[in-house]
Amino acid sequence: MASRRRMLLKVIILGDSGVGKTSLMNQYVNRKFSNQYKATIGADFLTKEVQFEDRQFTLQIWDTAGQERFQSLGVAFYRGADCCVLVYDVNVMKSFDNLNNWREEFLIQASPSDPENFPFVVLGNKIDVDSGNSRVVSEKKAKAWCASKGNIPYFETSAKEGFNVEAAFQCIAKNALKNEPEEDIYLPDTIDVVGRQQQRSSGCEC
Amino acid sequence: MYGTQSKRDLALEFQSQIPILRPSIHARRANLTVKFQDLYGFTVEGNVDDVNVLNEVREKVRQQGRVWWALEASKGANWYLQPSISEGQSLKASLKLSAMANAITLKRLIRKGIPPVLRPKIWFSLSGAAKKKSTVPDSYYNDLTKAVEGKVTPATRQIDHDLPRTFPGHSWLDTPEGHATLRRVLVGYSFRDSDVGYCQGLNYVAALLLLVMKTEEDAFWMLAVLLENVLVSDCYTTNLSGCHVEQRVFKDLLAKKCPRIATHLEALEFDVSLVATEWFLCLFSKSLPSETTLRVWDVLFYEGAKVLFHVALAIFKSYNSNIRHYCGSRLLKL
Repeated sequence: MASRRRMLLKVIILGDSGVGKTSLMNQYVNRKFSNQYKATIGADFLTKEVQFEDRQFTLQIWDTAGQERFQSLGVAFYRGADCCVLVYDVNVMKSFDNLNNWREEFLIQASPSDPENFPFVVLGNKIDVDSGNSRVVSEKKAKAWCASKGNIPYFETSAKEGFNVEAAFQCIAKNALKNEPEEDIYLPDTIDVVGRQQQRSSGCEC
Repeated sequence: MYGTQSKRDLALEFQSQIPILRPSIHARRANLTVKFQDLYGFTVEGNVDDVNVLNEVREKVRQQGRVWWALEASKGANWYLQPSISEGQSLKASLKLSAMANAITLKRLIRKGIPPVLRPKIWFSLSGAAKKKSTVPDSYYNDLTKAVEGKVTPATRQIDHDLPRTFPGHSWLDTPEGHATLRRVLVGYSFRDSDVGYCQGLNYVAALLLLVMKTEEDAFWMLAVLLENVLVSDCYTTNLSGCHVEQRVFKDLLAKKCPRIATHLEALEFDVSLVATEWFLCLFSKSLPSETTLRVWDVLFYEGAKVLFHVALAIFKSYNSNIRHYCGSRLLKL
């Protein structure tokens, strides 16, 4: 039996206001989309049971407020995170430009023991909007940025249509698990995540 | 102002359709979900027992209304405007027994809930909003909203972003008229206090103020008095410093008043600010049913910001056994 700490994986979702953090979390956990979500204040979370082979893990996903001043609350919110998900809206350039700020702020406030290798995952959300015609950040540009930051896995998603959300979170869960520092637990070389054979974007090795 | 739904007691109507309630159908009855609009136009969902509790509370508030009317009849319409006991300085000057008796009566009455029809008037007087408004020309609010019309700032951009995400689905707030009104109040305030500008969370507070006060100008002054006089200062400014202070204080308070819960949460590495930040910034409007929130605000406007700590502590205490049953993977979700 693994220790309690081991069973819980904490994931933080960051990004500008309105990029779809709450929607992504709800789409993954409840497989539902609503255009009636309230603006998140402070933080909110959902949990989902995830299975790796014969072992159960609880993925605790933290959704945060996007307004810049809420970054100051980060210390309490980011503590103990196992993976950080950076979200931007492919139709809003500024939300992409701010990814760097979100990443750096996370590293400062969470101060992980090995910041160079701390797992991030980037999601370009809202690819469904206007059938992609209003898109301003190209996949190439996003991937280039991810590559420059130590090959951050990158996914293009639509929380509204549920596109690529499952695959993205499987990658997130796997990376969160890899980040767990405890060594006393046997880990198989390959981790089979339930239903992982779905479509996935390039850039992630999971 | 917003769709006025008939205020019939839906639960009673519902109950009349189930004439005899045998114990065997109690369980089934509890599982039936009833959906209705509350006094302030919010859709409430609950089982029949919830609705019955809500109706009992409403009946008590109605009875309280009679007490208020009786007091107005015997003491005059503005009896409660005499100095309160919390105003230490003026107390000495006007230490009349009747004033003190009134203040004690008032505090007790307010804690039992201000009847909804009296709320706008009583809040406006007791919070200090009326006084604040009286220090500027009558045209202040109109001039302000006209002067800032069409201006675009980071605050206005964020406000526009949040309008449809403030109580979505509400019968008045989530309409073009509701959005436009809320926008004027928030944008107006963002220019009044540039240190605050606009902070997410104020959208919920201002929206609920609009629903209670009925006029946007009064809602604006209530927002102003809240941020400038009632609440801890700098709660909403750019680094949320006041909010940080509140969270630290609350953490200490919890450790002192509910040591077992505090120790338990600490063992789970669960920082209370993770849930309490939203409570303090939205003044519970996002977490409690509207009528409960407004009961909290009744007391807040008279007794001040300490009330937020009382309520937050009370929530933790009432969930005491739930919290202590949960461990690691299942943290409290209130």
